[in-house]
Parts: sequence; structure tokens; C-alpha cells
Amino acid sequence: MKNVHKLALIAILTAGAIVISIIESFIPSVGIPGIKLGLANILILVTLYELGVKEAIFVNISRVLLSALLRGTIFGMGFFMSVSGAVFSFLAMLLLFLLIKKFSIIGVSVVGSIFHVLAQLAVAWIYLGSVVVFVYLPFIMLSALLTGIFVGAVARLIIKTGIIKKQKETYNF
Amino acid sequence: MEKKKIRNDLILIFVIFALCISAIVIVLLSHRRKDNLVAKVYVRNDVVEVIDLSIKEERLYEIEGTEGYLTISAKNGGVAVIHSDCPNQDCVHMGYVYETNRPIICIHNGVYIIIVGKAFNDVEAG
Repeated sequence: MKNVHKLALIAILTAGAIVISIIESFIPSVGIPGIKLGLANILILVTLYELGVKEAIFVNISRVLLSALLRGTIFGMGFFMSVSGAVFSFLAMLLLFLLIKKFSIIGVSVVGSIFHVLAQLAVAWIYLGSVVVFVYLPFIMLSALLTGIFVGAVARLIIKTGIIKKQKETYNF
Repeated sequence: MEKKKIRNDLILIFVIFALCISAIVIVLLSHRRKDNLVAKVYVRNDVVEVIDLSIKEERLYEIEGTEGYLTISAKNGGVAVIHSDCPNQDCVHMGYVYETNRPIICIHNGVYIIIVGKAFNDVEAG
């Protein structure tokens, strides 16, 4: 990251993702406490599509760590759920974005969102040691589907405005 | 190319939507309402309390979770968490639960409560 303009842009995207994460923590979750829908994926997707894989990983890691630090939930149960959600959702999106290439940004976002809740549910399952958490799976999946569509649509709009493309052209990075 | 991707998106969204809706219908239909119910309180897979729900008067139970204490109330055939030492209080917001297909889960304390029929005491519901 030698380019200062690129560094500043990544910092702005990270800050935005942290703010979304914190706002999201005020929204009550469906059925199982601690399960988050992953609205911060909007900016992760924008970073992935416009800047690249390395940058998206950077934004994602800083987002998870810093928002947990700011909320004071680091190393709690919610933190492990948030980390596993972020990791699995990112891996799933990466697979679709780099290898399969058959879906637009909305499809990638839907899959990311679903893996986000599935990973968190799996952590809850391991921790409680009971399949009882899966009673809420269909409801959580449905909300993840709607969130995924919303996240993808917003990310698409942001990319379409061309703000980041313009920055890239002006400061060539 | 772009059109094809959007068509794939729509197929994906439709398949997931159909799966969710059918699963939701199955969960809602699996609800059985009987008179002979007990609420079982678990802390990380160990039963710590079995509450008879056929008694009308309110009874309070103090349960020690992994991170703090919970107060559980049972009355009129329903069970609720009325106090919990957890950051997001979602289990408290659920209020009284009367159905067998709606477990109360408090992940931060490792606690979950499920309602099962007395006769099916050792069968796990859900």
C-alpha cells in the first residue's frame, strides 16, 4: 500500500464498515441472541469488487477487531460468532467471485449473507452442544436472504456511482 | 453475460426462498399444545431444572449460567427469562413462551429452555 490516496480510501471504507457493524449491534436478532445479519458486507463487497482481494481482507479483519474493541465485546461469545461469520462469509464470497463467476454482485452477497448466519449458528450449536438452535434456522435463513439482497443492491449502487473508480483513475492505483 | 448472471441470481434467490418457506411451515406445524408440559432448563447440555407447567401460580428460579445469573419465571403454562446477566437481553425480550417449537436461547450464558411433553421427558424436542 504505497499509494497514500489508496491508503486513505481503504481507511474510509474500514471506518464505514465499523460504523455499520456498531449500528447493526443495536438491531435485535431473530431467535438466537448474538446472530448478526452482516450489513457491513456492503463495504466489504465494494472493496472486493473495486480494489481487490488483499484490500478486502484487510478491511474485514480491521472491521471485526475494531468494532469488537469499540463495543467492548472482544473475546466474548459474540466476538467468536462475529469472527466465524466474517471468515466463512468472506470465503464463500471469494469462491463465487474468483472461481465460479456465474453470479452478479447480488448473488455473491446473498451467498455471503447465508454463510454469515450459518457459521454463527454452527458456533452456537458447538457451544450449547444441542441441535435446538436449528429450530430457528429457517427464520434466520429467510432474514439472511433478504439482507443479502439488500446488501448486494446497495453495494451495486455504490459501485455504479463510480466514486471509487474516479479516485482510482485520478490517483492511478 | 450480465443478463445470464442476473438470471442465475434470481434462480438462487428463488430456491433459497422456497426452501426457507417450506421449512418455516414445517416448524410452525410441528407445534403441539398439550396440557402435560414441562420446561427443561439446560446449561451447556446439562439439565439443571425441570419446571412443571401445569401449576398456575408464578414460580421463580435462579439459574447459574456460564457468565452470570438468570431468573426464570413460570406461570399459566408459560415460561420466561425475566432477568439475565447478558449484554443484549434478547432472551428477556422473548417474553413468556407456551409452545414446544420455540426454545428460549441465551447463548452468552450457555442456557437454553425447551418445552416438552411430560411423557416424552427423555426425547429432545426440536
